[in-house]
Amino acid sequence: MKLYKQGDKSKAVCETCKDVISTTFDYRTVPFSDGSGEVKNILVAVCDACDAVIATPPQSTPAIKNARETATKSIEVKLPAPYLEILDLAAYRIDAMASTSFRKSLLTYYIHLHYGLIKTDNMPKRSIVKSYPKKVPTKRLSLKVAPRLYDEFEYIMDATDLKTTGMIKEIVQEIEKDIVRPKKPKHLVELQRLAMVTTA
Amino acid sequence: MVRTMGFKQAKADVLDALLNGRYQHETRKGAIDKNLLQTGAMSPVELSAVIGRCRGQHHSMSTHHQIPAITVHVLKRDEWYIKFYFIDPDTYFISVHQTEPEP
Repeated sequence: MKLYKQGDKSKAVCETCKDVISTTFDYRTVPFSDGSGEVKNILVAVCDACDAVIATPPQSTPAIKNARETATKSIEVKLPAPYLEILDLAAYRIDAMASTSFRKSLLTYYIHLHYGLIKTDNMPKRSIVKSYPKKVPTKRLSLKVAPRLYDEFEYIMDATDLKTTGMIKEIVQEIEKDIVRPKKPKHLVELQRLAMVTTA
Repeated sequence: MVRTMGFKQAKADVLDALLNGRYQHETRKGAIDKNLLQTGAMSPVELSAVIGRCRGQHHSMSTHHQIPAITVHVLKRDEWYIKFYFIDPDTYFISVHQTEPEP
C-alpha cells in the first residue's frame, strides 16, 4: 500500500488555480462542507501555488470517519412514497431548481420551527396521520444532521410523545398544510432564501 | 501525466489503484463533502466489488469541468455513482455516492 508522507510531492487539480498543479503533503484541519464540524490535523495535499487543500490520501480516511461520526447524527425512516412526494412537491413549489437534496433543508427547517414553538409553550396542533394502502411502496429517508439539531429533534419527539417515523410524518403533513395546499405558501420568502443558499 | 483511456483500461487501473492505495480524493472548496470512500462509509474492497460488476454500458466519459485535457470517468451501477480521473501515478476520486433508486 502506498503511504504518503509529509513533504511528499504530487500533482492534482486545483479548482482555484484552474490547472493541474504540483502539491505537497502537509497536515491541516479540514472542515466538512455541511458545516457539521472539522477534522483536525490530517495529512492532505496542498496546492503549491495557492496553499489550498485540494486532496486527501486514503490514510486520512479513518480520522475523517471518526470525526464524521462524532460530528453527525442520523435520522433514518421508511415512509410511504407519497410522504417523500409531498416533500419534493413542497421543495419544487419553493424553488423549481431545488432537487431532492433540499428535502433535508426543508425538514431541518421545520424541526427547528417545531422546537421553537414547543419551547415557547406553543405546542403545534397534531395532524391526523394518513394511512396508505399496503401496495403503496415505501422509501428510505436518511438525514445526517448536526448534534445540535438532533437534540432538538429528540426534544420535540419527547414533547409530542412521537417516535422517529411518527415525528417525521407529522412534520411532512405540516409541510403539506403550510406549503403544498395553500394558495400562498407559508414562510415562502425565508424558504426561498434557504433554497438559494443550499442549492448554490 | 494526464491520461485518456477507454472503459477496460480505466476499470483495470482504478481497481489497481484501490488495491495499492495509489489514490487521492479531490476536495472542493477546501472541505470534505459526501464522497463515501473519503469519509470511510465505504471501504476500498466494497468499492472494488461494485466497480468489478461494471460493464461498458455502466461507463461514460466527459472532460473535467476546469481542465478539458483530463478525461473524467463515470460509473453508474446498482445505484452507485462513481466519478474519477487519472493524473499519473495517482487516481483521483471526485464522487463516490449512492443515487436515488429508480421508481
